[in-house]
Amino acid sequence: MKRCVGIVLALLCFCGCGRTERIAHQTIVTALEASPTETGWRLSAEYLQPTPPDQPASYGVLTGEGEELHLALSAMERQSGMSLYLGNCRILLALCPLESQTFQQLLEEADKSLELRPTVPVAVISQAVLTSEKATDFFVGGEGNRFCANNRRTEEGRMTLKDHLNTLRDPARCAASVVLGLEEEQFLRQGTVFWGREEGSFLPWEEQQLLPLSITGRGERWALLEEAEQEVEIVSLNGHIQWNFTETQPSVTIFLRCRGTLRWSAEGEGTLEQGEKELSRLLEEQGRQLWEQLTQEEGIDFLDTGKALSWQKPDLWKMVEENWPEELKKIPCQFVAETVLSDPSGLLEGEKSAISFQLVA
Amino acid sequence: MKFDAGRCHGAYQKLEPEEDQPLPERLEDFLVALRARTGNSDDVVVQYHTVAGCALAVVMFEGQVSNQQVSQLLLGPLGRLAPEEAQDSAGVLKWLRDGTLLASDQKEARTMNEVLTLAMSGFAVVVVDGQKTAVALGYQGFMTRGVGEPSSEVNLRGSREGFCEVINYNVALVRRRLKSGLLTVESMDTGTVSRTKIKILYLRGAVSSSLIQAVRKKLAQVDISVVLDSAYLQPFLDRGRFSFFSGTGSTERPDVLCAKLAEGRIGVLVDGTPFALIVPFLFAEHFQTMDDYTHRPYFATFLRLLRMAAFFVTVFLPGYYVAMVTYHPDLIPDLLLSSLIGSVLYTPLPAFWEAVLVFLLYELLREAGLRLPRPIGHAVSIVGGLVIGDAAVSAGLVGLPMVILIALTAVTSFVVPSLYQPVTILRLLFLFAGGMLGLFGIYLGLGIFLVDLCSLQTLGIPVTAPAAPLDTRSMRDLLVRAGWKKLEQSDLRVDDVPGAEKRAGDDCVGGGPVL
Amino acid sequence: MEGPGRISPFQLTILLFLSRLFTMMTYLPAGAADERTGLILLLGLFFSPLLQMALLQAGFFFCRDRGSFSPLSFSQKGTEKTGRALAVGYWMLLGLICLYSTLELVRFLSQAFYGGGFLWVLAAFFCAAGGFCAHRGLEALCRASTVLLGLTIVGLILLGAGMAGTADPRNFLMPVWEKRLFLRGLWQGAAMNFELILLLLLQPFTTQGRLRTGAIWLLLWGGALLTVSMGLGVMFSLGYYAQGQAYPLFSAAQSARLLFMERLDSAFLGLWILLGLVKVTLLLWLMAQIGGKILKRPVSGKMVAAHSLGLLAAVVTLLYQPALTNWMKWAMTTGWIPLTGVLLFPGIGFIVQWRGKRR
Repeated sequence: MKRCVGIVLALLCFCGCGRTERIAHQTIVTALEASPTETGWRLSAEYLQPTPPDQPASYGVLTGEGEELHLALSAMERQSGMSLYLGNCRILLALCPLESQTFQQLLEEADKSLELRPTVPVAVISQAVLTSEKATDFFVGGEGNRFCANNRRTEEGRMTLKDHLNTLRDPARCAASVVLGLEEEQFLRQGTVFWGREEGSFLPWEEQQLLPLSITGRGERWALLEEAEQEVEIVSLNGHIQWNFTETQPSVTIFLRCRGTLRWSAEGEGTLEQGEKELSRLLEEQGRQLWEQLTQEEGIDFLDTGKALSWQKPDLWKMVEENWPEELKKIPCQFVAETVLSDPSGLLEGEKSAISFQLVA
Repeated sequence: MKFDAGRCHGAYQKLEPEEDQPLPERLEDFLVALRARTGNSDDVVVQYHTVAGCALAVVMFEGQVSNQQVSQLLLGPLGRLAPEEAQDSAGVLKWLRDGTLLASDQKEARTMNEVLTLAMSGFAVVVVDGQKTAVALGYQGFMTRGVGEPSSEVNLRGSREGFCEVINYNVALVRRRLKSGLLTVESMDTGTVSRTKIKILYLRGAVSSSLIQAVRKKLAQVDISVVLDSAYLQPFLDRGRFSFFSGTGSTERPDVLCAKLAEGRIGVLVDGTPFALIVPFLFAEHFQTMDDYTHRPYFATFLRLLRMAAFFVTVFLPGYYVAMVTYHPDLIPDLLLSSLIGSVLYTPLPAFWEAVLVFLLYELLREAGLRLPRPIGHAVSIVGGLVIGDAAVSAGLVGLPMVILIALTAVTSFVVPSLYQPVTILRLLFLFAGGMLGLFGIYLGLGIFLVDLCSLQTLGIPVTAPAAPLDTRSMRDLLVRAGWKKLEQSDLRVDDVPGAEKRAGDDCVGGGPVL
Repeated sequence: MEGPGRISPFQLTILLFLSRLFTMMTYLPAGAADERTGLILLLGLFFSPLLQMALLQAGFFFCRDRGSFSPLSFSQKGTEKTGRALAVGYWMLLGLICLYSTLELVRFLSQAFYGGGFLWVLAAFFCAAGGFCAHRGLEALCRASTVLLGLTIVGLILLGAGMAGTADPRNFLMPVWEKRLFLRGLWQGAAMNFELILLLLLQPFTTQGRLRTGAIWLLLWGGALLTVSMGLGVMFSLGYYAQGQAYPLFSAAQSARLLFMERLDSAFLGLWILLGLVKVTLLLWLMAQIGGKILKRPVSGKMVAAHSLGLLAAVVTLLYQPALTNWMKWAMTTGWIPLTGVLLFPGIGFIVQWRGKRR
């Protein structure tokens, strides 16, 4: 019994005595920005400055450069005088040219040497955000946090480090990243980058971009139908890819099924069918435009048609996998959209009822 | 106070003879022996009478007997005893013994120890000159607390009667509830000096004979000089090796004891304490209360699960928090991160020592509140709340999250009061584990705790039954409380749990399938 | 420590299942997370119980004549020396498995949660805990396993639900049939199932002396199903990201998301440590029992402590010798251990006994 007490007392000396140094002597990084330089990499970090509990949290910015990412990290640590703790990093911002290899290299090094969580969101930025001149409370309680939190909940959104690496390594899929920009102290999505085999293609965010591009998960929710004079809220938009194999050449048909709700209708005649037809046409046009712009010109498989091909014809996929972007450019594509609208508010029926009332009167 | 724990046993033996002396025939010799044994204590009352030419002495202890009953029921009839009714000492003895009903509780004593024990138990012992037997008449008149509401086990619904300090009353409380001839009561004395009366209760047919024998044997091995509470006997009924948990339970409620007796347990009542022992006592029973069986099943199930959750919270939460803050800050939700880190950085102590400090402060306050007289006790709670809750946090000595955490664990520890002792120490141990090793220490400690708990057996019954070894039939009253229609389908007896050792001569048929 | 015949077949089944689960969670067969080859490999793993049962039946046949289904029985005249030699062999096999399991656990913990440090501290505490629990006996471990099974089921449900939340159907790649991969999966399932040896050695400790065939099938198929489920979960959750991850299931748990819980790696950690403790405790206990048989001494606390210290010494030595560790990892995954323990040793005992009878 005495021995046990002695051992316990001795072990007590190890109990957490030095452990608080771990936090006290570590800088907790909340956001990280990485960019390639001529000699290697440049890292900037937003970090949590220790403040008493009764005062609001404050943040600072650290910067470091090095040949490798971990050397840049060491430079930052020398600057701060403490080691950096990256387990709580909320976002990784990549400020890099539209070169797929550079981007992939950045992410792989970040995964290997920075010990970031695989679920950390990754975004591309067009200009440096984490600088000492800028306000630094973006990512905890600020705009950045709001942006990350909102987008983390997006279904099918592939913003995380893990998703990026997964798609970059998968030849059948397209890796895409959100492009963020700072406009008047607000974080806004400026567009999407689709990473091809060699280069990325930037698609600026436009209004009325309806198609569910792979990264955003969903496009614009509202569609203004000029001909039908209706405004529709898109509830769901699903795509189905079908490969058609004929004797001459394979082709791909993209079926789009859209469900929407009518939210506004101009006074006058109009029917749901008109709205459905116009929306379908809009979707097909957008699809064709994007296909021409991204796929036929740059070979970017932004709708993951390669994945569908690998499921349907794995043997064929094996043959074309190596040179897929070039092969894809030659393949014709057809978009077929089917839209179903509903009118729960009775906007169109209400008009008809009013007319009926007048007639009766 | 039990300072020597029986170490002066030898000293007592020098003063008291090793063997019990038979009662001297001559009254004078008896009185000499009585004075020698009692050291001429002032509270020994000896009344001398001569009846039918025979000398007799009535031996009592002050404050133990009812003087009115003695005068009316004994001395009066003795004084009116006609010579023809008792012609000699044998006749007087016969008259005392058989002739008239002098007391409802009447015993005989043949040795000095028996005379003293009975006299100290509130009997008036009549010693007749020339006889080797004395007659003890029960005229107890000592003050008792009476049957009141049990203070440690409060129920919303159900009996408000609790055991008291008088063992006979306690037996009566049980007998009133189990009006069965199968209820058997055996008496024993324990304590070489105190000769405290204990009674072993069991239901024949429900309990195995080997279990009874084992309990008798263990109680006979108790070699303490003074037994003042049932807790003194508890370690003797438990298994030899150290464990945080006891395989023996205690209760202040007669209805709980009756329920346990019906399940094949053995109850041990000790004179002078309202706490009865129940053996064997399973770990899961700490989470059961009498209210579970008076509430509706769904609510009883909810409360039971709540108690189990409270147990886990009170044991593991402080250690888990310390582990997270010290070793795994990445597991802390982002919104809490800055406030928790701030509370750790701006207090002088590491999280572990801070937890221990607040925990010890709380225990001090609790102990002070328990020991202080009631009027002052309120002041302690106010001081405690102000000192810990406000001043210490404002001064930056401890962090607010830690105070909240310890307060929460304190509240949850009282949900299962019977486990308060092991929970308090286990909480500290898990704090050590979390402070030393982080989550690895917590989970490793959990594994060790589970295996250690599962290795406990009391009188051959695994303490973790019926969860481990698993008995599906018993699960109806473990995590959930099934309705009475289901519960009454078959009796659950403790000897039937899987893993129970079957001994030769067991007359209890059964032993469910060992899963 | 208690004698034999105190645990039920149900308890033994649970114990072996939990022990097996530790291996499954530690080691997803190489390539299982590979989209290209993973599904065929998993298919082979799924049918691996057939091969494992065949091995077991052969082992049972070799042990049958000894009456107690124990390959360690020295009671048969003429086999005592051979029996003792076989016991030494089993002792070493179990020691290897125990060492490997502890190494993997300590290394993983250190890398994942303690920044690569703390190695010997983790090893010391873990070995001490294993020794303590082994000293408590097999019965206590089996009872605790019943409770741990409940925790494990909850943990697995959480992990499964969390991985389902992050699963992406597009991570699925239609496999191309390869017979070689299928056979490899078939073999790997048996090669990594050290519990086949434990089953053979622990059966005599049950109240009925052996497990029913149905229970064995349940054990084997349950393990196979879980392995396949975990492989699929990792594949759908991580996709190509899983390649190159030392512990893909842990990475999947880190990425898993369920309700308000943004990560489930602490649940994985808890499960893993508890299951590792069960496995190492069981192995230490069995080694102590065999050691007692070899030395013809009753098993005492000191013997268990000696085994625990020996394990610690071996672990600490290997932790700082990566080359040796890599060799060990290779050796443990080729499959010679189950073959030796289930076929070779019982076969030798059977032959020696048969020749003894002929004389």
